[in-house]
Amino acid sequence: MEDFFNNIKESFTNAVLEFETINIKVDSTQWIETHEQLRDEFNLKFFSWLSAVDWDNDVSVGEAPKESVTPCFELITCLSDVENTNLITVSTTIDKSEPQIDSLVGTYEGANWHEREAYEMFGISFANHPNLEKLYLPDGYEGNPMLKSFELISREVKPWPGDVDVEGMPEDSESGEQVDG
Amino acid sequence: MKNFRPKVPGFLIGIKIVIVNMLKTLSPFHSKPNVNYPFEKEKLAPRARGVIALDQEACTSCMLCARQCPDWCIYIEGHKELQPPSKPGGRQRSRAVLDRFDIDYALCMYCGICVEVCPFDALFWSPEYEYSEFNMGDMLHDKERLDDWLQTVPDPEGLES
Amino acid sequence: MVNALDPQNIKNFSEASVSVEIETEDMTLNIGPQHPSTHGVLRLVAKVDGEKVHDVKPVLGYMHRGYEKLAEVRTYPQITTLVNRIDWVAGFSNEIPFIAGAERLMEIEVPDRAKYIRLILTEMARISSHFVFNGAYALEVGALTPIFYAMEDRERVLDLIESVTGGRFHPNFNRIGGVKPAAGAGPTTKKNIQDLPAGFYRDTKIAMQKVIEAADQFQNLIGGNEVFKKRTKDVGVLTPEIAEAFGVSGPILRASGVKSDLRTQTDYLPYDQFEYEIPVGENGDCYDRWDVRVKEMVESAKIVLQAIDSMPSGPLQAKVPKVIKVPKGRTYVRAENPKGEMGYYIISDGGLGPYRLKVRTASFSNISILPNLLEGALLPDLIAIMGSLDFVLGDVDR
Repeated sequence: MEDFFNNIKESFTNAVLEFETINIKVDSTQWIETHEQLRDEFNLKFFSWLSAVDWDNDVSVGEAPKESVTPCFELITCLSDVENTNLITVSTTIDKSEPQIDSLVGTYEGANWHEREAYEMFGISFANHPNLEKLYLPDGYEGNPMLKSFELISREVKPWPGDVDVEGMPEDSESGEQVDG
Repeated sequence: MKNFRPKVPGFLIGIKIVIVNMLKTLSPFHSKPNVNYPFEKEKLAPRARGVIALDQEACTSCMLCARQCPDWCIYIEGHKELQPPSKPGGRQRSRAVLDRFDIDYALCMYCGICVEVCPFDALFWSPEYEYSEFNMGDMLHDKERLDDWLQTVPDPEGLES
Repeated sequence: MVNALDPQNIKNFSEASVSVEIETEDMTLNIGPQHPSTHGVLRLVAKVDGEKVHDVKPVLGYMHRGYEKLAEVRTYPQITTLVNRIDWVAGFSNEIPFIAGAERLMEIEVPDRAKYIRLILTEMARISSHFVFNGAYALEVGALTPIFYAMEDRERVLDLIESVTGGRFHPNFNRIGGVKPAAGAGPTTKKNIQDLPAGFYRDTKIAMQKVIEAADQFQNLIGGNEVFKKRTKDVGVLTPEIAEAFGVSGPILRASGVKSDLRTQTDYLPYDQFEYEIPVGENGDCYDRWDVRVKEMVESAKIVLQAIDSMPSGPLQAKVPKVIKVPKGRTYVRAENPKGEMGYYIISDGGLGPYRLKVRTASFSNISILPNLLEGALLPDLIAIMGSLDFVLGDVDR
């Protein structure tokens, strides 16, 4: 892992190795060139997955991030090498108001279904994709479920049974903390 | 495939295996792996997760189980009662008394988080599994029914050294 | 005048050939969501010309449960109870990479005894999953006996898992820092330690011996059968280049000739202490995919027997605080599931639950090659090819 990381750091100076995962951050205009370079020069031919993260400050599910972030989408892909089992993740950020990026189907054929899933879950549109349509959700479904502003209806409708307060907790470590879920 | 000429055709070896197994099953010394269900019941491992039993006396309504349940299927309501002091001339102690402790087995995932976090030994696992109903509303077991399951809770068994 | 009843003339007539282009349309055949061979609710819309299949479009999503959204509102122990329902045939092996990811972010060292118990249960889950494959694949190709043999031997393994963890398919036995230490948190239940029960070693040795005999039986009963060979050899050949580009992993990749096994790379389980072989196929057809899985069953049984002989003693869980908050960071952990490579990408923000959890499942990438593989195949070959990919819909749709 160390030799491979040093190799990567020579070509991409902002590579980071934390918790045994290498991450490279690139600009969204160099998305396809970076992947082609990784596939040809570093022999990373195995396409593992592609997904997106919604960074936002006001969330309606879960907890908001502790330090405030600029709202954006972060696209992450994971590539690997089957003989030497090196693994790398590549990430880029795109704008939230007009999410648009080039499609990776020309470089890796397996990105087809992963991009369809990102399209329907987050609303990101991929240019030059052969058939960009819904993968999981039924026809006529409105909205993009994985956005942080999309509510989980089952949690909104039912009142939390833990709300009824009869007596305080037995040990006083973290007592009184409202645990969501 | 064209040059494949075995000494014995493959399917004859397969038929030999089938006949050997059939004779094994038909022999009177064979220990049958099947359990003739409605007439014989299978004995499950003592740790098998069948149903949750409640010990009412031990519960203090601390709400830890209801809070940690991933499905929100435990409903607890209670009130506090004053009890006579333990020593004459002492302070009156207040104790929490359960009004309602329901587990909705139609929602329960049988994960065991409630049994594991209870700090007062009030919930136990029991390997009973025959409590299906025709009516979905009957799957909400109230306090008395959960107390009845307490008799079926097995003792902890020995461990491997 | 030509006498039409003269045999000479009839012979000449029959040798005349007429070439006429008949316009036909392909029929759209819906191999619908309810089908015994699709291992769940998978729908294939196939354009069929006679018996040849032209264009297959899989329609997914009949079982989409929204794991990634559900994980955003739950804490780490609660997500562990959900996650073993992704690939429900081998339940224990889905929890392990997730817990290992949380432990990696917290930088906790897991005690040795817990690692060995996790490894034994993972290999038993792998044996159980491959038994289902063996029984069900033979049933799809047309043999009715092997499924009963497979289920009987599988029951012994599931009973073993139940005697340790309490559940056959959804064990929920992993905690952050090790395995489940005690039955509860109160004064008496804290002493009820959930270690291996009495009689476990003896029962496991018997069960693993029976697994090795059953694999031998399958090789003779199914693998030597000429009908099975004719149905599966040279059918659905997958080249390594297509497999790598689509992200296909696990026994399918090994059957195409690539020697890649993630068990050599997982450092959170002690696979380097045991000797085992990695079976690799030659052609990449359906027969190789079946053969690789039967040989893997034998290797898993040997690993379990070696692990039992060298089990260390010690605590079952490392010291963790009462309320677990995972520090900030992001990591990707992957493991060798019976169906392929399974991975979890956890982005944690320092709270009680993850900020974003991405589940990378094996069967989702494995069936994305179906439109390529089924080009020009006959309809019975379609069933044989789909069965050899060994997917489960919970894995595909999450």
